[in-house]
Amino acid sequence: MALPISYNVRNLTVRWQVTLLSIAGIGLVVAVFVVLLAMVSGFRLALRATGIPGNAMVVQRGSADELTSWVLLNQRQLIVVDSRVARDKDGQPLASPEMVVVTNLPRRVDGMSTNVTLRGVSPKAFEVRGGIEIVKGRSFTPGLYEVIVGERIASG
Amino acid sequence: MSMAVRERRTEIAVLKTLGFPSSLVMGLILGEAILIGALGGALGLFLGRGMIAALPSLPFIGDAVRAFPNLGLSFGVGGLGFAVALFLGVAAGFVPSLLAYRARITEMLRQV
Repeated sequence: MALPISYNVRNLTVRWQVTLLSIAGIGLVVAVFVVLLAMVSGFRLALRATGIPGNAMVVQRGSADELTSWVLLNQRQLIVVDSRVARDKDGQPLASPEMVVVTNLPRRVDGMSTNVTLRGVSPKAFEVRGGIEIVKGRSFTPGLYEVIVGERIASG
Repeated sequence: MSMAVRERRTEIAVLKTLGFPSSLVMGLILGEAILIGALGGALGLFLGRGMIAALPSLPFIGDAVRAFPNLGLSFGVGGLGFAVALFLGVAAGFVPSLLAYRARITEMLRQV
């Protein structure tokens, strides 16, 4: 029984070029596969970590995301007072009308322009979205030109 | 794998002549393929880990990747990658090993 097995292993070392080629081939395939899968799971984790199951997003009909959606002011009021929207303890609807735009700003490290997502929110956004923590300084004052900057952008 | 088996037709015939059962010969070839698959899988995981570590510092893709902090080689992903490698080994070795299992000794020895 041991003979055929040792013969088999010896066969691999004698034909080492073919063996190495096969291993390298499978290795490359697995490496690319694993990297892609890791990216997919990383993206999924990031998206899942920032979403809350109880939150619903209302966008314009035909829009698949916030960027292309445009909800008019009077429609916004209708959505906010809808009975299906949860209320806080004061009876105020837990809804946050928001506007998202992509701005182009120079990067601090190399001056190259980069896309920065800017989100205009109502004061209710903190309660609705949750998970927002002011690490440094204070929150913005509604009506003034003030922003909250993400930790990664502030440090980079 | 087919090439490796084709090169060894006479050797396989000799093994069979000596009395080793066809199932053992088939198992040997399949085992060899699975061994190559496992080694390839290990190499792939090693390479993949290196690539993931290097990804954020690449010029263009890096910007997109850096936005997602939890990029890493998890157990599930690694296991799946290794399973793919083993599957590739089995898939590559199955048909040649079946042919070796079925082949008649006389035919294999004829073309020496």
